[in-house]
Amino acid sequence: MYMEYSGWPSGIAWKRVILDALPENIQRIIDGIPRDIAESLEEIRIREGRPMIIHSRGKSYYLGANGELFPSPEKAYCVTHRDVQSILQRMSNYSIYAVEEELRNGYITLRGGYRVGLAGKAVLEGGKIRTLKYISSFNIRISREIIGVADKVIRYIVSGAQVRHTLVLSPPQMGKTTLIRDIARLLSDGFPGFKGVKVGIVDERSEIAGCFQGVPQNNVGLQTDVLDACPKVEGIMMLIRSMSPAVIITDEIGRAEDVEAIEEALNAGIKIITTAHSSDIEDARRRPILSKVLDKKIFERIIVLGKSMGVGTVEKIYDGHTLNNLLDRPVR
Amino acid sequence: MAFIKILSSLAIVACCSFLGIQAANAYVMRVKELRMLRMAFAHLESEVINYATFLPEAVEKVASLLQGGIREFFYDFGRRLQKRSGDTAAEAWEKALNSWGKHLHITAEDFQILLTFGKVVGVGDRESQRRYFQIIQSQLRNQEQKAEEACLKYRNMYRNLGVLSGLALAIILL
Repeated sequence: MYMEYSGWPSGIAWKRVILDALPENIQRIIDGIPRDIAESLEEIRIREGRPMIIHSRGKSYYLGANGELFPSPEKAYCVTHRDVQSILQRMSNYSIYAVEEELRNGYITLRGGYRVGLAGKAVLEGGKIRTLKYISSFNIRISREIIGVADKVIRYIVSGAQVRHTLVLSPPQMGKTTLIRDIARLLSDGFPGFKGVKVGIVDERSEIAGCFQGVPQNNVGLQTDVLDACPKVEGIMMLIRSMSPAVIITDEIGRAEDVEAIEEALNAGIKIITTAHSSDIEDARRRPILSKVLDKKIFERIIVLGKSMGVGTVEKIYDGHTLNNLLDRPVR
Repeated sequence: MAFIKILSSLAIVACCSFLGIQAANAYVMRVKELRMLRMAFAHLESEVINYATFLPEAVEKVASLLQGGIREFFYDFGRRLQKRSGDTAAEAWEKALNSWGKHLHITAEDFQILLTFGKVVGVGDRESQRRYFQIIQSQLRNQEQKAEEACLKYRNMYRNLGVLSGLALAIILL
């Protein structure tokens, strides 16, 4: 089953989930955002005592009390302490005790896989973060699955029936997760010239598959198993032991244990596709863990994302062994 | 004529006895309700602390274990959370308590204790929730003790008072 490239999706499907997590006065504001902006909305920033700001297509706007857009903050709606408390309660389904683990990591995942970043005061215990209190900033990220973004890179990742170990590098917000989500779909469902394989996703931050109560909300393929909210290292081991995937996909490696787990998977003959924060190979070389990964030449393909032609541009695709760029020019 | 007199005196005695029994029953019911509340909070605590169940589900589960007015109160609270009417759990709790409190036999003091608990339910981490649950359970235990004492003291009194005042009224009217 091969789905045709359906273009960049627009839509305001996010509203259903996100409005549910907001108090009624803020629902009204968000609901009032003009449709063309709402369709390309990327972030809603809510900060106590300050105006609400939204980001859309690289521009930011201040929000008025009925969702009007203002270029400057004077007439914008100012978020109150009560608003912040209500948002926190509704986002956590009135159960802050149940999202303790997520608060510790600084975000809450909503139904549909939307993620809300949080900032406040950290409470420490024995030098480690126990939880966040006085939470005063929310960053509601509106992620969109983009079916077809991986079409242009998939032929670099697959050779014949073989999938290559692949690392996707990019700064934050450049579409890493969107790309590997679509790679998961393509590898799982197959495409002309490639029969689908079993894919396992370790979705530590519930961003790839966007599971709600264990069921993926995004299209990650017919043969894909998702371990949701599972720590990467344990998750990779669990998949190797029990789910016999041909490919394991996971997000944002960066710790020494992650690398060990990946090597474990390599030894089991499983292909790995993962991402890391880094603007290019030189940048990655300066980071101790990533440079180790690069030196070991674990990855056969290294894809670099940027925004030279808009967010999600594939800037370079390196051959992991020779470090030659396989692209003549960036594609999007 | 005598027949009507006897009949109406019997009616008076029956009515007064009934009122007395009602008054006595309120004491018995209060003890029962406080005990059930305490049980409800123990179950809710276990759902919240041990299983980290989301509050709307936890409340619904607990409600199914209860009976009478307390059950209705918990169902109402759970339904309000499920429907996400109201911005905070405290609001939902207060509304549910206000609409069901009058059907319960609890005193104003008991009511106040419940109202206070509503302000903290679901708010804060597990450790603080555990403390709040302990506090409300010990408060309810105290209330229960007081209610039991009051019950022993007044239950028979009101019952006897009902019958006797009925008799007295009947005699006077005769």
